[in-house]
Amino acid sequence: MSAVVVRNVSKRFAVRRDPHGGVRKRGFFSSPPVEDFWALRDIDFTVPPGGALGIVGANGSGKSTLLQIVAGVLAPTTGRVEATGRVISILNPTAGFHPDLSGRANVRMLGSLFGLDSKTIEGRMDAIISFSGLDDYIDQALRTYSAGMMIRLGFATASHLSPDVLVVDEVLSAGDLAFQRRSVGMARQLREQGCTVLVSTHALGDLATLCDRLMLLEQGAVQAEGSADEVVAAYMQRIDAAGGKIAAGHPMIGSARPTSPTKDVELTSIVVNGQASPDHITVHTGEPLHVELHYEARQPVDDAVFRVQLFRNDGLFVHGQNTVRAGLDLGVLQGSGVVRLDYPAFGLLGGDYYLSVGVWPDEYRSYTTGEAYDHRPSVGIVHMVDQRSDGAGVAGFPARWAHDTGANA
Amino acid sequence: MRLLSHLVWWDMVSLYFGSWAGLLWNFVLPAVVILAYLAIFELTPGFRFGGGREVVGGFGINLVAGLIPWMLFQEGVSRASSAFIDNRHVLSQIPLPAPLFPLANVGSALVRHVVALGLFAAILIWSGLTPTKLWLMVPVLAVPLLLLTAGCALVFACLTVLSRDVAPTVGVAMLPLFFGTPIIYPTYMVPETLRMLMDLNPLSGVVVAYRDVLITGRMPMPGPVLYSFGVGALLVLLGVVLVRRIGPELAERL
Repeated sequence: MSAVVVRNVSKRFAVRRDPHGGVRKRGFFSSPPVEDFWALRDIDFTVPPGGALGIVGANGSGKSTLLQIVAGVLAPTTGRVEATGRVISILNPTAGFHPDLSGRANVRMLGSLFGLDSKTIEGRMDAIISFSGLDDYIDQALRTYSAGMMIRLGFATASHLSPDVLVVDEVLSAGDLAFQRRSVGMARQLREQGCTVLVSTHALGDLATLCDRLMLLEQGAVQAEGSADEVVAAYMQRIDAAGGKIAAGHPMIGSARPTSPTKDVELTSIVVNGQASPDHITVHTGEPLHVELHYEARQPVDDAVFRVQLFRNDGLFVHGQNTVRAGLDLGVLQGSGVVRLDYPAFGLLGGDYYLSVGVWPDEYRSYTTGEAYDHRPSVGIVHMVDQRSDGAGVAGFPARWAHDTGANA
Repeated sequence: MRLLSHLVWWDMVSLYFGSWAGLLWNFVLPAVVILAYLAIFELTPGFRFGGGREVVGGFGINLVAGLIPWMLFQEGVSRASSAFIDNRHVLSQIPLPAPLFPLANVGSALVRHVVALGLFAAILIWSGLTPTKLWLMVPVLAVPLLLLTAGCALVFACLTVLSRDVAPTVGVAMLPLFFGTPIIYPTYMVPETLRMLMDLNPLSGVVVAYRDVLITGRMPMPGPVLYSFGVGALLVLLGVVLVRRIGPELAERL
């Protein structure tokens, strides 16, 4: 027996260009032009009771459409979907809430819309409020809530409506980390009670711990299906193959302040691992990384600090080095020269990182005021490739496991 | 059915500012409308409803007797026209039978209708009119009125999904319809040439019948009421067909 059965499901959307262009543009009775768009093609899977399926894929790959069909909000164009028991879904951050009603009234409404009687809902109200952590806000109108708060209330409510099938689209990743962890814990608890869970998310780490199976969607078709490890690996590979590294010029949050370089010392070229145009450098974890900063001093400068930094695309400052920190005395810069930074074994794990380099008149003050001699906030992207044995997370270090037993212990 | 009653409840609560006091507004508003019209037309001398003929009751009372069924229709239909659009945040989230939403609008309008009727009856009795057995006809007359309201609600709610221009058009059409229905004038004041048009209006029969049983104290003519019932039933049928046609695609069209 399966709790969720999806058989040969395809979904066609009629795409209307300018759907509400109004009378002036297209006349009152003529329909706007329609194009077919297949959001899903021949999706076929089953999930047993108490099972958890995670759906991963790029934006627009059909994840949400698939979950909306399982939740029963959209009808499949072809194929059929069966879900046994009470299907509770959170498909968007607003979770069907009414902005003018209080959090408490919204919990009541959502509960009754999902078919629970008011007595049951009242009985679980305290548990819902305490899980959401919104005790202080629960009697305020929902329009005063932040997106994260709405999701917390939505998930708290949904998970307390005794679902047989819980469908969660994406939204979990918008709550704060503590709540995410609680949500994953709650989802696991529901699984133990026999609830089937379907989730889509970009937070691959959470999924891996919650789901026993993952499915990779690409342009509406299943590209890979299997254990979390396999599918995540396949997903990563595809992203790399598609050149879908962080697009160059992608706005980067949290890097150094914007600067107005004086160009008293100008960076004439930046060479990374021998590549003179380092907009895309691939480095394997544990292999060397060399950065050469070629400069030209327009006038004698005795206070220059050279800096190399790496940022993740979410703004996390991953690593930085500067010449003062390392105790390198540059003396007075005149004319041209090269400052080199060598990492014999660069230890970042798989992922893409922005490389930021610059020359500054001192170590800290100029960094906060943004007065640089020269600054290239995103000179290129360092694409790290790791092996399983390098470890997981952001950083890898040379390491060895050992195991002793008996007399040697 | 339980779901519908929940939705009616939420609709009434959320109609005005979503406060619990909002629920109170559902009673205040009909009261204010009725009292205002009565005050103006009953207490100001010179208004006569009959246009020369002798009729039972003053202008205000006759006007309000027609206004009460009209308010149910007008309010139910104009709010239901945008019901699917207004509730898209729910429809794109929870699989619910779509017709519930326009019907909830009609339901909450019906509650206000009952409140208005109760209040009006109290005023009539207080002003010296003796209630007659004919008043018991009101629930019967409410059936064709409800069918008309629910039918239009479903049809226009569906059409609004296909073209957003429908909801505002419905709103605009309400004013001519108001004057095209014998609410502020008795039927015999309508010139012969326009008589046909008024008879075609399915609301006319119901409105006149409400006035007949509440004020004039005569049995309504069965013909016009049955006509209203027939048109109402057809509209509901059309509404159901439209919901069936659009239903599966509703969430993606919103």
